[in-house]
Amino acid sequence: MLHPVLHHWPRLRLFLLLWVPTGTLLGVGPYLAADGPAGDAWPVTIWGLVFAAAAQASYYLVRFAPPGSGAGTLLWRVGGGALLTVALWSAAGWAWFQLLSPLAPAPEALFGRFAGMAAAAAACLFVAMSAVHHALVAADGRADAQARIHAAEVGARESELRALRAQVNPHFLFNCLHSISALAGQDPEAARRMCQQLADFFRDSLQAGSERLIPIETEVALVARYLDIEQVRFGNRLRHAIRLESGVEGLRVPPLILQPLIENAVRHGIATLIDGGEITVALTTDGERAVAVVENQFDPDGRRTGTGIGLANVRARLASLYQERASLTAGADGDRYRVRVVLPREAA
Amino acid sequence: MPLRVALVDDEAPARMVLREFLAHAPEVTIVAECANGFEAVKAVADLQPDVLFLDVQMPKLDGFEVLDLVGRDVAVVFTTAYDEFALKAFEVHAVDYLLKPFGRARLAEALARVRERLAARPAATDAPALAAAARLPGTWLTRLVIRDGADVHVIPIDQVDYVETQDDYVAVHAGERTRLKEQTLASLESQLDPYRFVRVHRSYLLNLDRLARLEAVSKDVRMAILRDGRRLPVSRSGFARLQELL
Repeated sequence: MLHPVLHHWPRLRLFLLLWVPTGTLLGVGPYLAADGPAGDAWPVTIWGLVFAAAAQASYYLVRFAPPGSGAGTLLWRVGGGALLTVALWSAAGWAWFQLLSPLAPAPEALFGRFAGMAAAAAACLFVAMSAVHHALVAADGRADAQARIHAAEVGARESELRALRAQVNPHFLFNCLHSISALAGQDPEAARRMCQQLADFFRDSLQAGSERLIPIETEVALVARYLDIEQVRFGNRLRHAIRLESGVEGLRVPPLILQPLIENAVRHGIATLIDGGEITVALTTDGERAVAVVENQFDPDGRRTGTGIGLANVRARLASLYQERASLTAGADGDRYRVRVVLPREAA
Repeated sequence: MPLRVALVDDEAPARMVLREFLAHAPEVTIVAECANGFEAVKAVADLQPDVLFLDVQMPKLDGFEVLDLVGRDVAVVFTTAYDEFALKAFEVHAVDYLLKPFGRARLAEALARVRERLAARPAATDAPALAAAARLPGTWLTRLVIRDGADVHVIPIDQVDYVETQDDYVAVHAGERTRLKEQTLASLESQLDPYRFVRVHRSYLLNLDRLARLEAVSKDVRMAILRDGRRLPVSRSGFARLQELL
């Protein structure tokens, strides 16, 4: 992680603004209090500025404390760091004043009188800087966590939208339009009725798709509408039964979660059979979970027509919404294909 | 030129719109309406239409399988909502490809193309070979469709023991049954998974699952012994191919 002050321009600017007065005060304050002459104050000024800059290093004590260390450990580290830094700084100051004594003798001469006060002030400054760093690290961590949560939410929402867009296969629309075109010549009333059904279906699925959860009755009505439209194409080859058991009233489900399953049942089931077959949808509850079973007849000797994309989309949606609290199992049993979806019960 | 037309679609409204459009087209007679591929093959055999309006996605036999079976005898116009089959359709020399929903004008265009094609009367094309060429690379036949007069037999590929050349035909041996298909062995070989079907001899294509053992008759002559005891000759190059796979 980058240094919260040195790599953050607004904070660095603030630090630079405060650095000169703080450092000067730290060096010159105790020196003047010990009656040091102002003319020889420049070595102590530099000395103070050095410490004010070096105190930024306290960040590393705070940031790289062993994970999970409590407040006690942190205090020990900061205290120890302060003592060590102040000791080194004092020693360096003593050597520095010795070196400059030919030019400015006062700091060396008065060192014993102002060093204790300067060290105490420096230790305080170091501890204060640590506290500031600790607060900044915590704030940055929170901001990072927020950003991560936000990114995850955006990602989930996007995959959700992608899944929704993929719900209704465009070929469904092309085939419907072809049926309408056919009916327009022979049975204009039926053509109008189908236009109406198709418009209602798309309007309702758009409406449902904009919600996070919809009542199970709405989902079932959408499925029934879809099947009614497909009935025009397949005639009596397509037979269907939808069964809602008591206990499912008022349950809420993700919108269009059954739609791809029904579409598969038509395309890879009924459409593969010369004489057609039946699609059944059963909705029940199982304690705290809602269970939907979609079953259809298909031609077990036929070519494999499915690519599994529909099922994979539903699975991905369930995983992004409910993680492991939802499941989808699918498989063939003789000439029947069964998909079972288990969802957590959502309160209204 | 008068045209005799058969309509093939498993969806009634799709047949209805074709019927309506064709009713107004000059010199067109609808001789058959079929709801699936089997009916289509039967109609072609019994009624010899000039042109077939053929849906692609149908139960049991799809449009391409129907073309594979009857493509020599009839001009084919595909009708489908799926544009992804268009390239494949032209590779198998379909006359036209109508995307649903289509209108009267587009259908009239297709009829004009059919008349052009029939007027030109190209040499009979090898429909199965064309179908083989249209197969996507890396995808293999999972079943064989074989026409026997008006009947169609569908043989899942794992039931095929071996295939043998017989003049212009291949004889497909599956269990007790042998059926003739009008296709060359080389073109059939190119449609089958090369890791499962091996040309063990100029005249034989063997399903590797059926091979029990190889028997050396002399230095250069070997026989393949099948699980059911049947014996097939193995040529030198056939043996090399087997060695590579086993």
